[in-house]
Amino acid sequence: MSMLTCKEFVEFLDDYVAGAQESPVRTEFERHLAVCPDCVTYLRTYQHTIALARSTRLDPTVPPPADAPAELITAIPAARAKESGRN
Amino acid sequence: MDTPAIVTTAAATDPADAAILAGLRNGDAAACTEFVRSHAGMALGVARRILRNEADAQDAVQDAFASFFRGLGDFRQQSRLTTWLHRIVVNAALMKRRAAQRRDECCIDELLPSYHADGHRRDPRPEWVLPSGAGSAGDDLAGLVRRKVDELPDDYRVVLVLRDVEELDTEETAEVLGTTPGAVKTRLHRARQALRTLLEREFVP
Repeated sequence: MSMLTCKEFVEFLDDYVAGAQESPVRTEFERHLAVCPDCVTYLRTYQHTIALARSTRLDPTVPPPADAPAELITAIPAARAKESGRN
Repeated sequence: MDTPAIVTTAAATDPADAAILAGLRNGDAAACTEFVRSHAGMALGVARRILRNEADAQDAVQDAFASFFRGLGDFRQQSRLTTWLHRIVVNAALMKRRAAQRRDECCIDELLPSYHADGHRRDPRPEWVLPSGAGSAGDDLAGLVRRKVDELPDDYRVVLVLRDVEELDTEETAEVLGTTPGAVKTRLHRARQALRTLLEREFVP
């Protein structure tokens, strides 16, 4: 099998990061990495990107943020009570 | 709105959940208010990440809680209450998104890498210099990343938010978006590459 190009490398990138590649493709992927510093950088920054996106999720166990409007918090139980009253 | 068909595999025998569920099912007004007070922030955060408009996000949260309370009788405790609520909020926000006017967006292609005819990279990729504290993603950095996510074309942004931020798996994402797992994988990979380009503009000195 010939060496992967940078374009082919990037096409396989998400499977590689997810650890889902079959071993022969993974071996080719790692052969490309060994000789292409640009793709090493691209892989590293792609992984940074995923980690940074994941880090934006708020911890669901923390209390509501201060900017959750009080009227929203009071409107929901009120609507619930109104709907229960109709049933 | 229907409650989600998604069934998570996590067991939910949490005694606290059982007590809360009993109160909610009995129509206990105090339990209802306390539950909303405890979870509205999380719900609003999820809706804001999917919808760009604050009014739409708040509407989606109200729709979601209404759907949540209506579905309580059918809740089978196969997941945590919060996990179930999270999925309902995702669905409510996606329904609101479908109804909203779609804005004009740039083409994602300009944010993807380009190659020479032989498949090799056209431009070398520089190393990033991440702000200090990047490992824990402080508020400023998280805010920057959120703003960059918001710059993505909507079809790509939503897939990235559902997969990488809300942590739905590929099949769940395909189901709530009414598309195929293959399409989700392709869109996610392109969205990550485009976000990488947007972040690179911030992190390369």
